Amino acid sequence: MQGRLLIPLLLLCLLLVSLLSLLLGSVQLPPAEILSALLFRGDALVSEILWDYRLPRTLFAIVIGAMLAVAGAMMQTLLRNPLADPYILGTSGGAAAGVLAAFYLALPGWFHLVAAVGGALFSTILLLLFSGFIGSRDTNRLLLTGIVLTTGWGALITFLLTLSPSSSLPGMLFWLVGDLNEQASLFVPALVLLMSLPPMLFAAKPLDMLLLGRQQAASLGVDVARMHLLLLGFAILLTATAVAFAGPIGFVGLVAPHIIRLMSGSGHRLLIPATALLGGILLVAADLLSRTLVAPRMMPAGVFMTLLGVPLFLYLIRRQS
Amino acid sequence: MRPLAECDRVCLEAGTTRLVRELDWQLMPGECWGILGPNGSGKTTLLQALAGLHPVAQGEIRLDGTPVCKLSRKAIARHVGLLFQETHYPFPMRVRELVMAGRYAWQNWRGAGSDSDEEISARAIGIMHLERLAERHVNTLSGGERRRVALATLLSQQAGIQLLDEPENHLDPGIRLKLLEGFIEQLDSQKQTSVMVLHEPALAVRLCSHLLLLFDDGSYLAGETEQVATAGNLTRLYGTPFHAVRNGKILLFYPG
Repeated sequence: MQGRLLIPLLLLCLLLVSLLSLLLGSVQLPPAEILSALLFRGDALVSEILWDYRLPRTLFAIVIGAMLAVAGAMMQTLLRNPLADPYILGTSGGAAAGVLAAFYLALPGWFHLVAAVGGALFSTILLLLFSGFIGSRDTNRLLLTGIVLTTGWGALITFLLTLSPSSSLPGMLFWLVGDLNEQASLFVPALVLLMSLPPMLFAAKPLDMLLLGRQQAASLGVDVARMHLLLLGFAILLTATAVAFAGPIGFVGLVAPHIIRLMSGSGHRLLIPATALLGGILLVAADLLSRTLVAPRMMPAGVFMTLLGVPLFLYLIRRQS
Repeated sequence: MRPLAECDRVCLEAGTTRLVRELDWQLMPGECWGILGPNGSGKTTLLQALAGLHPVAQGEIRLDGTPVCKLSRKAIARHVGLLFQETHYPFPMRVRELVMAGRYAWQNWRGAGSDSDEEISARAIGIMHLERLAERHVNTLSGGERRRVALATLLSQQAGIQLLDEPENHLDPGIRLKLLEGFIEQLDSQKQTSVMVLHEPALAVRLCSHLLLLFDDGSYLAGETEQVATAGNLTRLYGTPFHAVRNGKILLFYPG
């Protein structure tokens, strides 16, 4: 599908699903009142629910979804493997363990982000060292290394949870499965997202060429080391920020780029913005389901993403082998 | 005339294995070099060193007078293009886009393609008879078709030195000679040269004006094809007796 069709289509979908996310929730409100609150600030209670809860939550889901999706697309380009995803390869796990360690040590809130970046960076370096670095085409080794790292981080996370006071456990657990209830701040994630998109779009052409392989791209004039640093840096920053603010939500980074590639190929000029939009759509939809399907109870949005992502991942593995 | 590339006492290693020793070699415009040698004698490594993709253990490689290690990747790509032995494409990409990627080294940071970029890549597609495949995805093509796409990409790169690592791979015997001759013919003899690693001495004699033989022990022999291509040299090169037969203008070598 051509870019001039795909992007408007995705924007329309995002608008629709966001509107649904504003209209539906654990409290049933008549659509007319919501629209009037949205446009003219009508009824005070409806206004409060809309402006203080549903709208920030929807925007938060869009930003986090976009970040995770773009981070996934970057990992796939970096590793030249459509199965790469920060969640599967342990980057999210490293960030999550970092955040929980910061929780456990009762460090101030801003330190959670630093701990997340540290954990994600450490985990990704381990991944690259043990999977034969970036040039390797050995998918098995890459995935196995990622799975082992993820398992290791899981054990560390359990360890930290066991040591933590029981009063803080529910919050930690909900954060762990990807919870959008406690949106601390929209500002930092939005800033990180907006910061990372322009460099990716400027580098769209050399990123396309990286898909040809490290050697081939270099022989055509691409500064491969610089591109790898760019991808690695932003993939880690985006993943760590999303994890620090919303918990480790899996599979957005796998599902969104995959669907976009099916529709319009692998050109990054289109892939990056389209993947960001689709990531936003997916997470808003998952969050909407989590709020409405078992209402009045709420389920973490990460659960639905994972339920969608696992079958797709299995299908991709089958097709690759 | 200034050489497009020169090797100045170059030694190459792969891991701990010593390959080429003290190679002095110059590439002049208009020449077409064939590199022959047994497996593991460093043919591919030498091509990669010329393209700045493999470090030299000793000595220096200069492109148009400048050491390779001092040039940016883009500058190297304007001097040297490389056809790899094998290509592998895990992501879908159109033939037209891939051939256009050959123009990258000549574009500005925005990567905007000028009209002449379009023209040059369209011409490359024509020379390799790929018009009918231009909109196909490369990962759906056969080995021989992919080879022609890679050759077209190399053509559109318009580098001064065209390095080809086993260009005849996957090409069926009927089209092999015609495609490679077509490739060499369209090079600008004032500004361009080509170097190809070949496994078939007869093909090398047919296509190349000069030959570089890389022996197992790291020594080498370089010169014009008529002088270098002898049954004696090939016997020494491959460690098995070679004989020559001449049929009109065509010189053939066969082992045994």
